Amino acid sequence: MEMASFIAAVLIQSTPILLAGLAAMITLRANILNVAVEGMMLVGAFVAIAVGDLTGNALIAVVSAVFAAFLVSQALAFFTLKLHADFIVAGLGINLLAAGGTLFLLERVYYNPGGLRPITFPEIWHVPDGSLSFIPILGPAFEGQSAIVLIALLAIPACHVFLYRTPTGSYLRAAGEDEHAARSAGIRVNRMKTLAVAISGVLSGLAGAQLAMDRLHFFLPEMTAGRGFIGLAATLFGNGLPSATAVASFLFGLFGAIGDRLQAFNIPAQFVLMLPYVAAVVGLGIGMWRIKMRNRPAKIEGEDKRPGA
Amino acid sequence: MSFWKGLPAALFAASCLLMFQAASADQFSAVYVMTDNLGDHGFNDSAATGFRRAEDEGARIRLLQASPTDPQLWRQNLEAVSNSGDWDVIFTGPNMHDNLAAVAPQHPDQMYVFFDDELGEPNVMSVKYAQNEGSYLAGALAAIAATDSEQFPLSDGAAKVALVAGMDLPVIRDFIVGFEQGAATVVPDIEVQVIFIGNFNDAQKAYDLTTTAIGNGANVVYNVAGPAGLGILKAAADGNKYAIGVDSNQNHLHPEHIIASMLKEIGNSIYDSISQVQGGTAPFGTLVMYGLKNSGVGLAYNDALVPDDVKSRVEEAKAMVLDGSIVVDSAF
Repeated sequence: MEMASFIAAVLIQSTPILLAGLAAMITLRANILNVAVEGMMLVGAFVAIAVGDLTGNALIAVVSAVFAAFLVSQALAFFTLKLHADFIVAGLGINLLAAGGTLFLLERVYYNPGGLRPITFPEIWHVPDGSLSFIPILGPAFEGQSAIVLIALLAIPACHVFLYRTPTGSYLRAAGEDEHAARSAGIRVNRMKTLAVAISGVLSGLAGAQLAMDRLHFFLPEMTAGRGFIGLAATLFGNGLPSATAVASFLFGLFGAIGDRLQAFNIPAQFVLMLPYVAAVVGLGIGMWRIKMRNRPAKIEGEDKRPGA
Repeated sequence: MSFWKGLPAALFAASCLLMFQAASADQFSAVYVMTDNLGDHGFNDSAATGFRRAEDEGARIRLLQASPTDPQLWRQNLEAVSNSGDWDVIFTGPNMHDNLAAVAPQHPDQMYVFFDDELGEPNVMSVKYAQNEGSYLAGALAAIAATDSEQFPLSDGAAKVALVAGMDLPVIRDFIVGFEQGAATVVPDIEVQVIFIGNFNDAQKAYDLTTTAIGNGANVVYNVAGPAGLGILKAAADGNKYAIGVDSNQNHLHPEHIIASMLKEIGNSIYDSISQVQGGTAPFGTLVMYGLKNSGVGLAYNDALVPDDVKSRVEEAKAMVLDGSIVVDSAF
């Protein structure tokens, strides 16, 4: 039982990071470092609460959140791909716009810039209690998880299949690997990049909706608290591979959950709160070291020992 | 040509300036340089009630909100209002110690009120709250609620309570010391889990930590986390345990789970400060304490959950603090 609740906590903490990580991963494969995930998550979280409050329907709230984040992603695509703005600059701009824009709406529409907290809010679908108890440990861990957690887990193989088993996925990767070669092969590079940013928007919107709708049922300014950037770190750690990105996201979630439990012991809180970030730095360090080792020139003359070369 | 083009604009600007000055000449004015936004159902909203009361009585009030993650802006706002000279008194609060220490000496004729913190400058009146005394009562109530499972049916009777805080700051430590002492006077060997979120905004983290604390057996959770505290209260409600709110009266947020709120009567103290400054009796250069004695802090019970005999036990503890037979420890 203790183990099940721990796994449940890891799942809850990992899900927003996992979705953000996959969002950044897709664009990374199209050679775009997407720093706007954080902002798109925030927009998703805000719209989820605003629409859920308005309609009283959780499904409409999630769909609206995803759609809003999709629109923001298309704004990013317009500025960068059509108007040729730098991706990092435009992405940071989107983040500022999301933080300021949600605050502006809170102030002007809801007259309450501190947050949006509807009295009643529709429950998103959760796995019913006792429905999975026949599976040891993992079953109880999944009980009570929201539908978005399941979608996030399904998104890992879905991303893999999309990138490696569909023609569009191959085109997208080609556009990211070598733009000129892809263009000369007849691939519409900008269309592929727009698609990547769009998928990224959809996944970010889901991440935001999960954060706001799963348990909290309210929106606070800047409630994403850097999860988009941790997702980006997970992608870089995972080298742009769906499975490795997922592993990295779960690692961050794992360290977060361990940290939460360590606070019960007499360890300085500052140290415990540092853990997920230490994990990020160590993870990135190991990742860079592995790349360095792989790219090392072969020692034996005339023979290339690099894997895959 | 350009002179005539510019003339209407210049005239307009001049008339605006004149009107502005005329307005500020006969009207008492106060501005609050904030490091956060309104609407937190807590500290900031409590402060705002005091300003609104003064505004209703004719004062000119401006609340300068700012993003909690933009310290640059806080400093800019403070310098802008100090340089403008338009305000009779400038209020500022938490997180602004270093900024005010840098700005206040440069404007010796400007009056400042610094609340929830302390700064020894001749033109600054510091206002602090004895949150340790209020938290002492909260701790006593929490210990009773955790161990008395007959009157508090959601508790399992185990002497375990938790305090979830935003950051490890001196003012937060003051809450913790008081809470621990209050809980220990009722049940000497009570287990108090003290947990930090690391910021005041990450409500999801607050939720996760509170859920963990409840999983570890906590029957009552004390919220000391500003805006993120809404996540603590939600987690206590979802975990079907009790919570104690903070700063403003938060009892209505989850009426079946929040047994009380530890009020910091920030609004009252701000209203008092404005009246004192207006009347010329404000003791600048000193520190004014608002504690249990002058109703600067207190406990607002949720009458539906807290029976009268429990209330009277807590009120006994309060009386002992008031008559000095108990001295509540402080982190300062």
